[in-house]
Amino acid sequence: MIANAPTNGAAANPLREGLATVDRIADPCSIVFFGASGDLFKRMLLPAVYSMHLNGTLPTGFALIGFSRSPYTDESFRDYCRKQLDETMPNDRKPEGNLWDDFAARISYISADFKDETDFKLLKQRLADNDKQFGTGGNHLFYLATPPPVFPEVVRQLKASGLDPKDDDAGWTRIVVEKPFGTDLASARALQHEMDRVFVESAIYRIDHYLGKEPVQDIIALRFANTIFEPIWNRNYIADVQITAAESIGVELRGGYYDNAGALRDMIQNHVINLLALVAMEPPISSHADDIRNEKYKVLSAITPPAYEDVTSMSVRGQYGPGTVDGQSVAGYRQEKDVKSDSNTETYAAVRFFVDNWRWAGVPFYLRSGKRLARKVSEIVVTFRPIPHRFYGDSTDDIEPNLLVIKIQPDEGIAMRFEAKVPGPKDHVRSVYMDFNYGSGFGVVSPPAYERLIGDAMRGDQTLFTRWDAVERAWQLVTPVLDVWTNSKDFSFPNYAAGTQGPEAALRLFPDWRRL
Amino acid sequence: MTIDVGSVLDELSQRRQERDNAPDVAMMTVVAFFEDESIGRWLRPRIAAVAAKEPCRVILLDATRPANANSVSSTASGTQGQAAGDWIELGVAECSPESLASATSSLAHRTAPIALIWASFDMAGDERFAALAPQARTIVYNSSALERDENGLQALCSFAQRETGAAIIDLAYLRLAPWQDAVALFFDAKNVIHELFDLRRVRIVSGSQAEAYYLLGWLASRLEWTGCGPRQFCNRFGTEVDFAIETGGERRRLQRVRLDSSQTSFDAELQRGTPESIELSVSGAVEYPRRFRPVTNIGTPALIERALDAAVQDRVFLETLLAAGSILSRERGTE
Repeated sequence: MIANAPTNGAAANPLREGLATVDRIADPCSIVFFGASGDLFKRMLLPAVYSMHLNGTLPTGFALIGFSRSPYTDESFRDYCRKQLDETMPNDRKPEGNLWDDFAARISYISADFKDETDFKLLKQRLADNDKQFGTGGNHLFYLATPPPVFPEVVRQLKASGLDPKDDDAGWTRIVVEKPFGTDLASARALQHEMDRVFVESAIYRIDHYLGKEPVQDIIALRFANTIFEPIWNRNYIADVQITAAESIGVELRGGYYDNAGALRDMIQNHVINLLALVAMEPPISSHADDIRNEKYKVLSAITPPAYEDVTSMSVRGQYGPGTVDGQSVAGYRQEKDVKSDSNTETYAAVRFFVDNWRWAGVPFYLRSGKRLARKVSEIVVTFRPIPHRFYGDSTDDIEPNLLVIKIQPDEGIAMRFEAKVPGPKDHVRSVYMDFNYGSGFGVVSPPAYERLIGDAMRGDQTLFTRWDAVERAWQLVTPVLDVWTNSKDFSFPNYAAGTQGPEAALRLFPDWRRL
Repeated sequence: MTIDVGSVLDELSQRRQERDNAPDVAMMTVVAFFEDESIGRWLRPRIAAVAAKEPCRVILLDATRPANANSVSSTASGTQGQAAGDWIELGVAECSPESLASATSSLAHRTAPIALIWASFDMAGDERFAALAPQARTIVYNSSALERDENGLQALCSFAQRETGAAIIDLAYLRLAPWQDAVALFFDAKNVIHELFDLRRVRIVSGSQAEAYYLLGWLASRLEWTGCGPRQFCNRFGTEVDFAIETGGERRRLQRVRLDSSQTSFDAELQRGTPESIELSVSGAVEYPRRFRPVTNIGTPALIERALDAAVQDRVFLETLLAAGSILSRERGTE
């Protein structure tokens, strides 16, 4: 008899209680990566899974299947994986010895045409073989790491070949969908319609890797594991909230994709709006996935999508021209590979939303994201209201409002700005920072986001994945802006030089953006 | 003999000025006591490795040196990749328990909790330990560092049976983590879990006694086995479970754990090589594909780091410790 699927971790196996690795080891399963010859797989997904193997957080019954167009055999795909891991893993975690042999033995590959049902039948057979050989217990995790246009076809083929979830005890079937989930509201709904025909919501894991980052998860801890913030976390004390996801790199080799997407679709609709939801949501009644996701959806529902006539006043778009980044001259967007020479695609987007509820009425949330900006910075800045009455400090002192900065990348931590007296006989005040960094505070490097998220999908924990209602709502919020931007050419493009703070028009939307 | 805390504080202040009074971000005060030079030599670099990562104030109480043979240093964050921190070494030979406690209290970082690493032979009967322990949030011990490590384990067990507000942890227990994970993995599958409640024999090969007793204590406490003979447990259905501990392999390391049920054998054995791994194999009524599990983070600095993180008592460890102490008492006929 082959060992098969486990009961649920700690509760069932008394030896699991209190173990150091994870609260609950993932269920045995086969994980199928569609698009396994692609960039995402080799740079992020494969290292994440191998890292889980080295950390002892993969289940005993485990197998990995690559499913892609490239013509690998099982053997050559293993060699490919080893080569990629050699390049991406740190020196003390290279693929070698028994541990690599053990992992490699569980890797196989199907060279496939996504439109060919025969290849999916082959996959079905391979999964059944894995159940017998590796004790994967009929549990299947499908990971869509293909270009988004392929998603519906894969989902259809899974159904046609009988790989859709079955309502029996034979094991679970889940699907992880990479972003973007659709390219606009209509395509997202169409994709969801295809998904609905095959998978129930509890089997769909829409990944937004930002949510796997430690500082993002720490937003919940900061707000709800402390008593000092929640009483002032409202319109009475907070003047505005800025959420920034800035990059100093350009579109690199993704010009073709990016020119059809733009900053609003690529970053604001998913990562940045997810951050907004975490900052603004009400306290969930528990840490259960749906209790948190209910609150996130509620807060997004409280934002009114802009009217078309208001788009110009609540948003700013930009596109970078040539400039200098880190001392190097760089090309403008329209000179990038695979980008149209008269492209109207924005590489910078800034929008202002209001959350129309009791807690946040009247507090603007400013969201911005862009490429080729002065610096790579992702952060949330909560600006508190100014002091109500000034009696202290020299008249020349600029008494600034308190800031709480949640740093997501590249620095990870929390900083608080407050005013302090400058030592000396005069009553001078000056802004100072209390600065907490994860690296120095806990002495550990945060685990990569994908490692956490893949593990959660294997364990069936949807907390850090986005539910359909929130995805749909996020599309509804940006759709008027997208429509206006798509239908009106911006003749000022390029309107900011690479390596700068972004277009000047952004200062008209909000003059107090925190400097990048 | 007393300790001149004032001059140490002056020197600390001077060292901190030399690093431009860089911000103080200590997460804890690590107090380590030792009275054997070889243990001191073993301990220093390991605590230094932790201090390089965790911003902390380290106070080494060195009972091999006379009182007031002191040294103080202070590091700003980022200096040669180091976390910020202060390093204070005090000679404390022949110092009274009260002066040790007083000096520790005065020198400890005021806003960071104290973790006490007790690296001495005795514990339960040592008045210096009794004086220092009440200040600590966390007490770290390493029973397998001693010559007769089962003595250390029993000393810790005696201390743990008293009421104490501190979280107690033993590095010898933390060292078991990959083995606990490996053994637990045998029984995660739903068609294997029943074997866990049908175990009849446990055989452990280990380079040190403490780790072996901890593993036994862990199994016994998790599976509700009670002692019913010097080398026997009874499971909750009354079935006898024999155990044997053999010496083998490196000191402070487990080498092999074999569990036999009435129908199946579960075998976990350390495999040398880079990286180290544990080979898992199953034979009998249940088959299992051969697997290898990593052995990670069992270096002493990593264990100390984990131990220092313990802010509240780990209940599983405490139950394991008491079970291990009970096994030892039965073997020695003192229960």
